[in-house]
Amino acid sequence: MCLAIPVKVVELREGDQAMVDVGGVRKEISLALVDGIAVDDYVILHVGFAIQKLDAEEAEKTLALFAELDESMGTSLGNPVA
Amino acid sequence: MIAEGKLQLDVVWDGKQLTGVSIRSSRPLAACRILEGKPVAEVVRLVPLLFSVCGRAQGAAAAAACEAARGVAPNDAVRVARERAIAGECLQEYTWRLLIDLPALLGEAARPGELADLRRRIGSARDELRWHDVAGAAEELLERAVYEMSPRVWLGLRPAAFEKWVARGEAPMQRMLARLRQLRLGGDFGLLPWLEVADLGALSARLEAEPDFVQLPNWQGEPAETGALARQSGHPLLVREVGQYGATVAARLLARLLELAQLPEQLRQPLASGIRCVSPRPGSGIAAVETARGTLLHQVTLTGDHVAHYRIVAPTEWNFHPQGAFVRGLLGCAAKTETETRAAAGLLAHALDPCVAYEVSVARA
Repeated sequence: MCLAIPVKVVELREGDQAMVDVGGVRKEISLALVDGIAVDDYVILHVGFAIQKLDAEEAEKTLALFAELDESMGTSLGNPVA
Repeated sequence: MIAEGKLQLDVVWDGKQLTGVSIRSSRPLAACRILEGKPVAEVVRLVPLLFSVCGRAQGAAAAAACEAARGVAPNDAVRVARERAIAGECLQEYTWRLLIDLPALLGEAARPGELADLRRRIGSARDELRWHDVAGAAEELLERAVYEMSPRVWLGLRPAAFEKWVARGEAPMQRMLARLRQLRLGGDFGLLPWLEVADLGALSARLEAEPDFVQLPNWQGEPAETGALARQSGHPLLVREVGQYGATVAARLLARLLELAQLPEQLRQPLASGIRCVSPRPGSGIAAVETARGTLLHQVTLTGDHVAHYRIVAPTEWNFHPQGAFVRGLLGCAAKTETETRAAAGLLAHALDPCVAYEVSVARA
């Protein structure tokens, strides 16, 4: 299962690209798979693409869940398979 | 901040072939522990939010496992809606692999625009009529962008006609299939069978008894590959393909093409028993759901109305097992250059489709 973390869009760029804030780090992503994204919207990010726009309520719920997860697991999440 | 993690795929190349393969994962497999202690209804609501890349499948697996644990069953309308949502999600994932990822790996142009419209339709499908619309739009897209004929007609091709289709080589998919047949991989690894209810009971017992089973799943003691190749392994075209070329990347692409071509019809007529679940004992439930990447297992134990234990076994753990299909497929694979080595690892990783980003590194032996 792959965690899908909401990220905030901080800047729209040409060619369906956007800058998002991932835990304080800015990253360029593609908006080619979703419509109607504006600055300050939250999207679900997967391998460099925004795959879903979250409405404010969903984003809040999901962020609260990830904050809880962060707290319960700390930052050392490595689970080496091999 | 928590991250989705990634797979680091380390390959050793001696100038002629791949002599070592190892996998490091930073995926937070323990994330589902956050569900423990919460009420069942909340868990069923949270799972698709937490794991939203394949959220429909995750949500259906969570609901089915919890229902089994409580000894209740969904009505037919709910069951059908879940099967449709899972088929729709599969359709999105397969088209992503074929129209975005695979062209990029082969140096061809990705086509995200084709996918965006389909995703929009799937995202807003709520009733039978809308799903029929999605099926029609999907058939049109697949005919134009993938099969160059109706997917239904393509599914009916006999071997000789199929070879003609591959040899025609005009469409990106045909070129890819022909190229990927040349990438010979190692073999000798098992396929995960379709898990029946009795199998789920046995797996549930193992999940409870073996704490590392979620990280290192195995079938009868051996690593096993899950996904389209395993599910379609009995299809005559695939039997012939594997017999002739081996379990190549092309065989896995063909398996995906065989499933993808059937998905529009599954949106119209959902599977009767795609989601399987069982309760090995009161308060415990396990469910298996077929996703694009393979079989997804959710297992839950309840205390009253609250979740006491929650475990998820994702397809990535089967396919990227330290002795699994990725590792065994690459060991011994011939490669003349470092670029070829990197490409082989990237193509097999793509064929086995981990649910997170991956990075390939090559070291010289």
